[in-house]
Amino acid sequence: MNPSTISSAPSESRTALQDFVSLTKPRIISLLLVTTVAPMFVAGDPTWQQVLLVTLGGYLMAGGANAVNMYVDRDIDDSMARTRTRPIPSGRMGARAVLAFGVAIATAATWLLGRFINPLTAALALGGFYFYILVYTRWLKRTTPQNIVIGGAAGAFPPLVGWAAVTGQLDLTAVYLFLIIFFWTPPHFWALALLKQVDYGRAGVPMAPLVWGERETMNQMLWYTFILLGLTLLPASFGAFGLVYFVSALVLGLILLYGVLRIRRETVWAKPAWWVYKYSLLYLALLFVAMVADRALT
Amino acid sequence: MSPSLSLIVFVVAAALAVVGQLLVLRDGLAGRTPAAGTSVGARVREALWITIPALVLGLTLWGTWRALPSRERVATPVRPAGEPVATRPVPGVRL
Repeated sequence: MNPSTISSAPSESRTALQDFVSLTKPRIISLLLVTTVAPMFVAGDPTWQQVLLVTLGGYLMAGGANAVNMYVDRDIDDSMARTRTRPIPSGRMGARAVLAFGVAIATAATWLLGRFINPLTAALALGGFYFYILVYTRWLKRTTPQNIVIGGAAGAFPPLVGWAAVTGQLDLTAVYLFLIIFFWTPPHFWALALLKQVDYGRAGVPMAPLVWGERETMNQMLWYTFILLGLTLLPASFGAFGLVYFVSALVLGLILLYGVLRIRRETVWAKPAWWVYKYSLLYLALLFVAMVADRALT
Repeated sequence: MSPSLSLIVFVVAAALAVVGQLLVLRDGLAGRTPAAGTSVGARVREALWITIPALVLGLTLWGTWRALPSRERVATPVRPAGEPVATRPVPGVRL
């Protein structure tokens, strides 16, 4: 046996496995899973089996959506530095294989959630999948600067999935969890769009800074942060959460507001924009952790 | 949280959200100059995308107002002495 064959075989299989994993965008999904699992503990008292199944189903559904998204966007991914190394544009995987993989794991997720959790949970997860692929990627992404505002709804499905998994229904608190992520998306994503606007322009994606200009995008980020701050405090008013959550939401929201104001104020805004992009990820995770902590402590 | 405090939180937080939403609507519907070559259809669609979240926010605020523990106290007329106080279920408005 040729020694080089022995050494290269595991390496190749590891690369293929890494490519399959990268199709699911695991780093992005980790935040989605926080916003799926945390609401389960807010909604009730889930069993570890429920948590495990919803985590697995949520990962597969979101991963499937990300893979199908890479298939749909394969014509523009090559023109953006950020996406050029993905498996399809780099030539490591065929487009149809990526599509088949995405559809297969999304189908598995639907079966898993429908069979072992409940039909509403499966329907909501599948709704998020279709919204992301059809409404965001296929329809809005290349046609309007409102793409990430309306498309942001796709990322707001996970808390509904987690909530429905435990309660089998949706209520006002679940709607708030949905809206918090919906209105969080514009300041979060436009911070990145400000930084990557050249890339988006090259790919022909009409992101807000390219269509409205930087100043107007920064204004919009501020208006959406106002809405977000208000929305995060409102659940405390009708008793959904207590003081622990209220103080956390207020402090975390004011820090985000300060970051967004810095982008508008400073002439060289790249650093604060990058800070807001990264902090907004932490903000959302901590906000959902605060919800769980509030329920546990009060 | 006491009913009066919950009402204050609602008013302040809702005002913040409404002001933000009104600024989004103002800029989107009247403030921004449309890019050259933008069709009427595209402008209508743009207006639609801006209006839908505003309507959802409005409906949610209305639902929240209905779920406030203080609302009944504010809205209910003074009850005669000795009459029992009406109780409300724990918040959680089902859709």
